[in-house]
Amino acid sequence: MLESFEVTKKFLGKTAVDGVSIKLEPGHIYAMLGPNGSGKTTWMKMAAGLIKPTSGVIKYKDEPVGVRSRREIAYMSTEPYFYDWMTVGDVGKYYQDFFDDFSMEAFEEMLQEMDLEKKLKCKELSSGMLAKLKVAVTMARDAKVYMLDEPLNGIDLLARDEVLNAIIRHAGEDKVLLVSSHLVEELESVVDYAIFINKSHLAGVYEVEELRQNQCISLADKYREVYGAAEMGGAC
Amino acid sequence: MGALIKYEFRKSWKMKGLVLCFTAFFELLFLFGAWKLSDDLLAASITGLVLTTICGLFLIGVYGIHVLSKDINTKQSYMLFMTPNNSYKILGAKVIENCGSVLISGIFFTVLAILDIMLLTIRYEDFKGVMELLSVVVTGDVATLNYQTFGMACFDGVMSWVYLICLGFLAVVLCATVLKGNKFNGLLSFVAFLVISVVVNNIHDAIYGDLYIYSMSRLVSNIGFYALLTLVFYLITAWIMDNKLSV
Amino acid sequence: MQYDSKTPIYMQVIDAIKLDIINERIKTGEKLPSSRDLAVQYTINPNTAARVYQELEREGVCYTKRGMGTFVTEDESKIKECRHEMAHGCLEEFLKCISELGISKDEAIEMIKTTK
Repeated sequence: MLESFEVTKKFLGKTAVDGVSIKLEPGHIYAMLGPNGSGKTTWMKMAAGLIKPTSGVIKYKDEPVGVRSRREIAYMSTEPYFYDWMTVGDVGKYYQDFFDDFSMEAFEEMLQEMDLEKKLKCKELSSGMLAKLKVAVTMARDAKVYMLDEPLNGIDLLARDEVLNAIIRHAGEDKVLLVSSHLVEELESVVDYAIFINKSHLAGVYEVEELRQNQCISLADKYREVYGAAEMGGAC
Repeated sequence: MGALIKYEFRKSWKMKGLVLCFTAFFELLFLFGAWKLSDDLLAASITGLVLTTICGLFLIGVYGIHVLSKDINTKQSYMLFMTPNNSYKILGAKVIENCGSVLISGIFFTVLAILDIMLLTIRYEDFKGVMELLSVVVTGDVATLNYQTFGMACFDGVMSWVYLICLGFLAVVLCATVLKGNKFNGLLSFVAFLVISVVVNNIHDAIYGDLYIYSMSRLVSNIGFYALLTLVFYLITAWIMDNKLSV
Repeated sequence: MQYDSKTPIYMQVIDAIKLDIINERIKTGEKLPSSRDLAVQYTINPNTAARVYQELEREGVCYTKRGMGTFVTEDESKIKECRHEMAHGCLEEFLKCISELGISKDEAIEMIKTTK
């Protein structure tokens, strides 16, 4: 459904993403893992049609991503991006004004689940509340692809659970979910595949349960192995 | 497109409301002065109105450029660029909203000025002298002034400001794209802004001459000239955004 | 729930559910949550949750009524069998640990008897 062909992005001579080819299929939740600055955000932004690859192409339903694919690909950036004057309710209205697939009922339901008041000003939200709001408004879209960049960054345990619940609830047979993180353990039980990105390169795609079944190692163990720390794992 | 324009207006309505409040205040002062035939009040309120008009139009335009800069250089850029709208639409909404605001305010201030002058001619019998002075200031020619020409001259001024705003958009986008990463990108884009406006001015003078002789046909073609420039700079800016902008 | 890092997550969830059934925290014949709700409850992938029910069904611990959902079996012997299996699993684990410590089976039995 979403496919990246040898995608490279250079910024002012620095290579942020280098020859990454991956294919995402509906019905799965993917984790995009790697240290900070490894190129996860840049790849996602390219897939969201926000920046153009220096070379290579990312295709959604066999067409290069761009303005049109934004209708069906919901992207959530890791930094807060709402206008200062907005309240939580305004954010919902904004999405309703711009996205045909946005459902105000779904949004309100999630606000309730996450304990967010519509009257609250975005400027005054804590980082945990802001993270929840971003996820709620993004997931209230009935998109085909959701890309969440570091949704668990800087939030407390309870907010984390609520965010993960929202992700699990919205997964579906016809949907692709891609969630990035620099913390492996947080996502391990939730995703079925993990895409490792290291120093702007693709460092492998692994199936969580397959690793456990056949190699008796967790995703975290594999992560340590790939990123060069102590070898882990063992006999079944 | 409607939604885009709506939110562009939402970003700047406070500033515009403030300009309107100032105008209303000075206009009330003016009406009061005209009623009481108080020269002091009239002088103060007319000065206030002229200043509000000039500053208001200036601020609305500059604020629009500032908003664009914020919309492409900060994290807020996602708000616009994650929506299924291309750069032509996004910038188009800004041009329509901002230049529209300037145009509407310009027309509003012009009509207000004409109405106020009309009022003064009724209240003061010996107002002809003042009118002639105004005529010299605006057109450089005593004989030609009438309300129509005055209005057109004002509109002409507003149009030249509208094109400058679009040029400002171009400078801001250049700063964030082609010149990105350059230490002096702010300065360079400002220099580009100055150079282009000087070049445009020279072209304008070459076509029209630099005499302030206002005839109707001259005004119309002048306005056409600025409208064309506005369109050209809009297209160039949107093209650069579409091809070079990374948010 | 915390998952250990060596066994597949779906197997750990299966064990947790079986334990609930054996302890009667979930009654026989009781309706189980939808696989989506199960996924939320255990913070697991929905595909993993679906697999949990597939496996439970295959083992005869659960059955699906069309359009109604998944239910725990009413067959008590099946549940007894489960308990037996799980007890065996625990024993094996225990014996493995004990033998790694160099303690014989008899010594271990003695220790169990004297441990309060």
